[in-house]
Amino acid sequence: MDKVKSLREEFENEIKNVRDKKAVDSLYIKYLGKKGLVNRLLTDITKMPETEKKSLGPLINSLKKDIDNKIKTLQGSVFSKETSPASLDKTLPGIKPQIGHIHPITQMKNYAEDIFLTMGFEIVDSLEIDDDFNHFEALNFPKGHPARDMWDTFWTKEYFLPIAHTSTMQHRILKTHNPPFRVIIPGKCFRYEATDTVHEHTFYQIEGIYVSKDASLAELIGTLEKFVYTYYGYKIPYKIQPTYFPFVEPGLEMLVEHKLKNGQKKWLELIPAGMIHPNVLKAAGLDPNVYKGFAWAIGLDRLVMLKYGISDIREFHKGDLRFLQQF
Amino acid sequence: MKISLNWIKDFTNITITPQELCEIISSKLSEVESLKSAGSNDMVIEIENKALTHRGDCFSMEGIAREISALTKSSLNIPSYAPIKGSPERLLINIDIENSKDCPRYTAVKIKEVRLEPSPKYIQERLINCGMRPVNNIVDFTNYAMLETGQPLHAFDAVKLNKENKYNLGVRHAKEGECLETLDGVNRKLSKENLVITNEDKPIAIAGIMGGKDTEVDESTKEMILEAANFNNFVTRRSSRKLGLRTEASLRFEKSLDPNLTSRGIEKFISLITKHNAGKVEGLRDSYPEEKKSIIIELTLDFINKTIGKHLEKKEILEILAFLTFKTDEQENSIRVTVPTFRNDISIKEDLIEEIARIYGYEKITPTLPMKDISPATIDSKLGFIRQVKDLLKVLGYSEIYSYSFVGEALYKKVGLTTKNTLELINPLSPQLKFVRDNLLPSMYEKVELNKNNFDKFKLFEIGKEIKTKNSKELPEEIYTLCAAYFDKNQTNQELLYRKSKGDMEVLTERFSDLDSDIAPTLIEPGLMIYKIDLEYLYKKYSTHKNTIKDISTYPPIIENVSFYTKKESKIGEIIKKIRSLDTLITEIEFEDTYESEDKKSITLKIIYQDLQKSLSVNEITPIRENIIALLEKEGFQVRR
Repeated sequence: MDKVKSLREEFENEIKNVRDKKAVDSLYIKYLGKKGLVNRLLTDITKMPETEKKSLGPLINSLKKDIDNKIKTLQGSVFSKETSPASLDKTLPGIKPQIGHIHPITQMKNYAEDIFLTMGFEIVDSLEIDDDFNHFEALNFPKGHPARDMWDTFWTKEYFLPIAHTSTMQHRILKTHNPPFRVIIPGKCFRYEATDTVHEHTFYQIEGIYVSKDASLAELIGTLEKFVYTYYGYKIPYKIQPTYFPFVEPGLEMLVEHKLKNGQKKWLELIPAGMIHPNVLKAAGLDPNVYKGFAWAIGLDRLVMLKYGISDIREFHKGDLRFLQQF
Repeated sequence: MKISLNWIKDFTNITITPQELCEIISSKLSEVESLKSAGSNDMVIEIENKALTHRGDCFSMEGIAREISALTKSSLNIPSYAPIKGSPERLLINIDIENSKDCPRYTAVKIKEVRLEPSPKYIQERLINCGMRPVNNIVDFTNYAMLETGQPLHAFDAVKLNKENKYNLGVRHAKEGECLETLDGVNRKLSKENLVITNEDKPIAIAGIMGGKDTEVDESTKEMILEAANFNNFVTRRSSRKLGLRTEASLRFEKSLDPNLTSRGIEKFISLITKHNAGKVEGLRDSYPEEKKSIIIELTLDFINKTIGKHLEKKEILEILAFLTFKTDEQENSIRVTVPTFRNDISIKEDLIEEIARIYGYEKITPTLPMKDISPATIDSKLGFIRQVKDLLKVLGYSEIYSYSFVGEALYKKVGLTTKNTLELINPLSPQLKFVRDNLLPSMYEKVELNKNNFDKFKLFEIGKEIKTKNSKELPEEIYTLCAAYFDKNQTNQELLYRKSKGDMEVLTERFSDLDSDIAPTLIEPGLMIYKIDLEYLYKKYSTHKNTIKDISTYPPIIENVSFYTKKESKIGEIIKKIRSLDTLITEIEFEDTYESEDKKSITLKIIYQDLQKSLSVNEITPIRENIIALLEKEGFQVRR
């Protein structure tokens, strides 16, 4: 046991005087080399009685580990002292691994979804192709209703339609969920619109629906306020204005303050919303005298454009990596 | 909708600045698009139509004045005119309405001693300010009366209709093949969707949209028939869309107008011709079989306050309704509201809630949050899965692209596909956007081509839905699919390109399932491999996939190399699988090396043997190795010793 202790002391003394790489190497050979002092100690104990072997073995091993660690630490520091700064050009560019990029609309969608998730909203998927009943009729737009003109829809030969709003899922949600419930529905939407820098026939929405016995306008405004405050990270000024959609009554729109590059402020129409029309509840078998609800839709494309200052909406579907790799 | 501020001031006092007024209109009625100065010291406010889609009554100065009076709590002063007297005996106007649902009311007024001249300057200016073009006094008066009251009017030259003062007018749907040259000089082919006004059963106007050229008033006009009618909004919309023709009149009828309004329109027009000495009423015929009556809605205070979520004083509610010219009958806990007929947008309690809430002011409602139990929210598990797939692909170096769900035939052809089974749009924006894609490959191929111009090496992916048609009755199936492209221009070794790209897909499938199926590219070109993975299938595997971990052996493995020659056609993957199933002690096989020599290649497999319970000895391995060699030889490979 004394031998182990003295060897440790000997090493501690010697290592203090080491100044260069060469000295470290010879220190290593002296103690940890094949015929080094530590190994010699290990061969020595094989001749000892079993009881001593058992007590000495671990001690020697831990000494070995300590010496190894200390030498390695020293190797590292001595090495860097020797080669830098002269031999390493620290201004060299790194070699970057190729990483992928998630589309900015997906990122925005996930972000908005996560806010609603924390507010207790279930996330449900939307269809891409739907029928006239779910898209219009069940939402209080009878056939030939002039308000249908507000939705410039595409039609397939079978009279299905690529959805023009995620509200197309409302009827199904109202039918399959027991109030109180809260749901959001992200979806890809389509409108008959010629494309230019600010118009696009394909766009993305997140629909929100809340139904309970005592849903109110105050709660609708409160819910939207909570969302925009969380989304923007501060209490962004907003206002509520009336507007018209056949499937809500009252119908309204939330506008938020938007600062232009020149410092001017502008109101930006952000979230159309409203209390779910009694006819929509009725169509889904909910008694409007018992239940009330509210709903809204958020356009994701515009949020992304504003966030990053994107001036051409067509970039989203171009698939140009020079654009996408910036996100 | 353009509003002349001076015109509005005829009916209500405005004490605030135009800018303040616009703010109030925006926040309580409909977004103001612009405020501009106009001729004769006027200001023109343009209001967005969208929020007024259901407010036919607001497409008039009187209607907007009524709103402004309620919004600013200022008095409203809409003049009343002397009613027009009925028809004298000798005047014969017959009005034959095919279906009173299409046309609930048709009023025709005979006017004699018509004097055509340019209209007075103030009339012309107001028309111009509101976006209309002055023509002559008669046409201008009809337009002026329409802008003021909201009732579209039309003037026919009476002599052109009938020289003997007997008029047989009718309202019916057009017959296929009928034509009419309209005021704008266009000869229009009519169809049964078009409602027409007829004279002796011959079309003379398209109801609610535009009059005919043959019967228009001109310099020679001495007598005229003034039409003030009410046409159904659905019918007018269908007719207008069929013709692709929208006018100031059709715009108003589409929003739905009050049949009682025809009288007011006529009265305004008559007051104008009387004042400016431009004609005299000879008599009128009014066909109005079913008079529209006001409806009564009963509102409890409890319902109002619960729906708004704020306690409003009864007095306040009554005041708002009174400013909107609703008659109210106060009960103890409720209010009986008589809705004027011009407010045909209001039929249920909730409609009145909107009136009360918006005039009261949304900004005065204190936002509250719904109370709900704390049960956790969930994300649809498939959507959650797709998020994970995207995250993993990002780590693997793939960038996400979005592409259109609409495709063209040319794009499909490029990758040898056909649009035969896809859904076809009847109103595509262009031939390139004519079909709903049932395959993500063509769009991906297009994006790859685009990026080749700028990059030598890249990886792209899209997750989207492939829309598979079923039949004409059932909605199509929507299948979430992953399409991934691996491009490396300088990788000329196809095998290496394949192994690298396939490796990425393997990481994906192995992460989410115990799927052990063959992954093969859907498209191969020099330097390019594109894969498609059915995510619905992978998701199914994922949802049943038990991610149990394997025990890690604490005993050292034995590693041996086995090398052999093989022919080009051999399927190495299958051989590796066979070797693996030889013995449970074989825990891993690494495909270590391969090089070609003429028509042979040499392959080295690194076989790793390990046991969970003990250290393996070479003796235990020997028979297994012999089995491996026997297997290889049986399969026709030459093992290198």
